[in-house]
Amino acid sequence: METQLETRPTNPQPGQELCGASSARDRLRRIVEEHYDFIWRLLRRIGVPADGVDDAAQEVFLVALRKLEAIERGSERSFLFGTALRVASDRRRARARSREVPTADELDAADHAPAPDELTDQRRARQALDEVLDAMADDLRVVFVLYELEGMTSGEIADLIGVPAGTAASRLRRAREEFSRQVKRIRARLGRTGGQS
Amino acid sequence: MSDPKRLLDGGGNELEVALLKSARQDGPSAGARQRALVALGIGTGAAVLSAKATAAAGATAAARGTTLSLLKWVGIGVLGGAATVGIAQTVTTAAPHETVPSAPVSASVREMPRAAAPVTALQPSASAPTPAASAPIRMFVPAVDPPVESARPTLADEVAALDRAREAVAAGQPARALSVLDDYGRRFPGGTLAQEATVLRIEALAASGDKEGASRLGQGFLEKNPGSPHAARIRTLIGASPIP
Repeated sequence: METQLETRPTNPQPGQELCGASSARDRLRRIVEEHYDFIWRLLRRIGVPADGVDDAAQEVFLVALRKLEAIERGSERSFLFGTALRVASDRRRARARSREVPTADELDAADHAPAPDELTDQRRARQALDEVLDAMADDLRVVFVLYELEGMTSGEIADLIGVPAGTAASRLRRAREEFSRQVKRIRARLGRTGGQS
Repeated sequence: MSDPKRLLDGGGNELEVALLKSARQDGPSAGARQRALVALGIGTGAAVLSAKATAAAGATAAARGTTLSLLKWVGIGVLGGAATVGIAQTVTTAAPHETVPSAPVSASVREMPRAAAPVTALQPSASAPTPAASAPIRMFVPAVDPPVESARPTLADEVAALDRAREAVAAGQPARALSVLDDYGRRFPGGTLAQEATVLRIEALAASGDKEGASRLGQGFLEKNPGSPHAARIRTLIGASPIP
């Protein structure tokens, strides 16, 4: 999904920069309004910590702002999706580099491994979900999130991520297997550590 | 080839369903999108930014009138087909986003330290031309009601100052432009729009006949910011050879 910024004159005259800006501004606003929630949820589920998602989402749309003219009409969602993957990846890498300074969520999770009955607590369940998803390979995780949480079909996912339908379906199958495997791992751990609680 | 039954639709076991259901509670706060719009300069500008008008008339008036100006300086380059300025505006978060009720968006756009990671690292394509040295800076718009009496200069103030300088240059009054830019430098040391101020200074120097000063400043800028979106403009101003 390569996008190139058009080469243009770099010296607008006073007022010139507002010419045509209105429709572009309207377009950007529509893009934000239509896709913000999806991008926010996607970022969250592909590894951006809760306290960084607003920020990451804005980065995605800032990139869209800067590349607006290069985004083909009708492919906004795909552009945002690809950008969100990169933003999330950058943030995960940055987080990994600063592992010695765990986030509040991580501290909380480490200090308080959930007991089985606590999984009814939504927050604990989300932590466990994060853990499961974090353990999945990126390509599987994305497909899994889009299918199981965003309700997309495998065909829609194939279009969005730019792979053949068969590839998307195959990834989905493997993703579900991996998800089940990771959930079993969590269940086994809970059985060891939380059975007495 | 039909899609499998979704885990949440009965295809998963109890624990799988419990974990997946927890994600349903996770979403942007009600005000997050609006704050993003404001940060991008396309929020319901006046309506949002003037929410505190009575409490912060001065700052709010600047902010209201500045929505378009912010676009001009912050990103309108793309919208209008000109070079990007390369500034990231980022809204601070209201902490957890799990169905957190949103707080009113602040009237003021606040200036924050230059501490953010370059947005250029986030470009969708590694091969896409990026204004690598545009020194992206995040601007933070408070997510919750902040003290509105703050006397700290805002991005709106910076925009207003540079607008005055730009108008002076356009009016053929380089001396006045330089005076305005001197004032800008004093008021906003390390300002968010420092690069833009430098470009204007080079223009003003060139317009005043100080070609040597313009060239010196321009060369210094190009050495420090070879990938700046302003580089081509500066090369033109100082008569430097364009990069082949």
